[in-house]
Amino acid sequence: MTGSPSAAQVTGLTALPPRTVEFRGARGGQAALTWGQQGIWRSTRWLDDGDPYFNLAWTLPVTGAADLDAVLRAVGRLIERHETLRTAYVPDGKGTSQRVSREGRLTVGVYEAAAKPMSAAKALAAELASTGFDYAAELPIRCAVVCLKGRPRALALALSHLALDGWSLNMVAAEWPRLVAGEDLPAPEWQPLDQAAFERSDPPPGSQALRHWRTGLASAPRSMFDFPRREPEEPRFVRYGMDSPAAAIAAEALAARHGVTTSSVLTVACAALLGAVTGHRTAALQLIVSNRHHPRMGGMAGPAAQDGLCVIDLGDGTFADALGPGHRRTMATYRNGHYDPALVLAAWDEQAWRRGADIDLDAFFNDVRHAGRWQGLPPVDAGDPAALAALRGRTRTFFVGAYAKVKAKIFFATGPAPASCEFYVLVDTAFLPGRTAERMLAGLEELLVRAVTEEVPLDRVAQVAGLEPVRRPAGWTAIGPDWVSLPETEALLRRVCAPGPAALAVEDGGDGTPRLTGYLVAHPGLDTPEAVHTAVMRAAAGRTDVLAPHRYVLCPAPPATPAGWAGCPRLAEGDGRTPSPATTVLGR
Amino acid sequence: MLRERVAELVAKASGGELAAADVLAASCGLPALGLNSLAYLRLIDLVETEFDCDVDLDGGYLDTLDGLVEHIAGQLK
Repeated sequence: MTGSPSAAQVTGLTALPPRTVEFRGARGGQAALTWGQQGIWRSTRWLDDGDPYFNLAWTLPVTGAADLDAVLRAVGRLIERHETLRTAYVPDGKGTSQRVSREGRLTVGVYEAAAKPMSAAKALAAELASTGFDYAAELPIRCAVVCLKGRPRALALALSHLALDGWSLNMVAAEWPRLVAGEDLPAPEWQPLDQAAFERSDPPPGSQALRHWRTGLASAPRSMFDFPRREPEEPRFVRYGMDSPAAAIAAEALAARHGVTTSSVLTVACAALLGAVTGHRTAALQLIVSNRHHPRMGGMAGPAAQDGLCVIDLGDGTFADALGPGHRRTMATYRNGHYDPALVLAAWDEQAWRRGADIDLDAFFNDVRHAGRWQGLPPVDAGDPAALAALRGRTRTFFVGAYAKVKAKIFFATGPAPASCEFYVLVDTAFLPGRTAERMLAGLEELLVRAVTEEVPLDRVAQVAGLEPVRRPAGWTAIGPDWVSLPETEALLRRVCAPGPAALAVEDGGDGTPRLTGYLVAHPGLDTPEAVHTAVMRAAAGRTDVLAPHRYVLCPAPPATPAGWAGCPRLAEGDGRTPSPATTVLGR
Repeated sequence: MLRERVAELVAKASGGELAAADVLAASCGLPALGLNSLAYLRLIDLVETEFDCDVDLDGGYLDTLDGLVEHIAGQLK
């Protein structure tokens, strides 16, 4: 297995002859993808082949008196140690497998920098990462050595996210100087091949996590974006960032006061902001779960992260009131992030079928901070309003970028800055204006700082954060945790039932909650509630404005007047949810 | 005795950042001591393995050493 860097055109660098690193690891092999690999693999499939979005550009310093040969040896040892760095993703007839090559070679570029080798290496790393990896044929690592006056000073790297996640990068960073120094490190005890075998053991792990997902899928809003779409901006997805030491100080103070972690404070804050803008008291976020709390996984280089479902009932009280329960929901999510994605997707479809709407969980939060916390925050007393106000003078917000395609409607994330709240918000402008992302950042800081000194009722979060809640036109109504457009739902039902007539009614479900009933005239192909539900679900796939009726009433003929459906003779009635092979209509 | 053992598990879960004696002496909750989310998850794994019990994350007892000890004692009965 081989790899080679692309031609670098970085200013201030002179290319020297490239070198070849040969490696031979302890073993090779082929196995199914681990659940963590499946997560990233699915994300890469969502993009076009060759898209470099999931590439990681990275730079490692070379300190001391190591010469070029020592650095190249260290690169070889690194690839030999970690099987993930010599893994290809190959079709296996049923899907995709991981294939670990025992041996191979990597071409490493060598460059002489005119000055500032680390800066030059960063630019070189970005260049190396600008081209997508051929996952089936190429090593998931490209690298080049940057020298100054003939002495190696930095290693520029481009890595596939399929090979390493943030946790693994930190592991490699810790090993790198020791490998350069020629130290003989103990072999890793756990690799993705071992993990793949564990995940297929009997009984398989992950049953508790699957129960957690089932519960969440039943209680989450079917979408946080159940409101009218808007004309998207170009490019459609925009991302803003913020650097706010004050937000970090405030979050620390709130965490200490309420006995929770800063990660939970930020999660609940994101839920509160999103809930305030979208009109939801219950918020559903997918948290990126590192899955590193088990010692074996803590020592494995390779992708382990999976998405975890976090449903937070914000309640009717204050932001502070929501922190304790929100913390427990957050912890439960992090604890239940290791699962078989195929089983969760099946549960997802099953629950969508039962609830009568595709369940859209395209709101994410990724806390990437090292060990999930800040370190070295400025010594400012959060209880001193003047000091906190002064610190807010250092807050900076900035535009990060705009993208044509992202698999998220909103994506909150921290950055790795240790001494400040580095925070990012990405929005899909087909649902929220791009400026909302920027306002949410300022709103996050305001919410946290305000909550240190006063109670912030959740129904005032939008006002406090300076956010404009979405407006739903007449005809939208709340049914359980979901907002539904009744005119659009009725129009969809009529289209599905055409050429026969149909109508939608909001009726009392018996427990005080409104339920939707669909009335229609039965005709061939639409002569049972199950057949109608199948057709409605197919037509509603991907929509966040409609909800399939909870009950279908099939009549032999339409009523004399539109108000007369309830009194019509009935051929059949029911919820149409009886399990059938047709439950795969969503085709997820 | 149980309290001391749980404090040792807290120290172990923290990756050595906290000493069991500090955990025992602290008057504040575990997050205020610096126990982060990852350490919490390690702690729950350790407690469940050591005491063969289920730690329900929806309980508020996770916030303090004494709350956790009380919960484990209740499970052991």
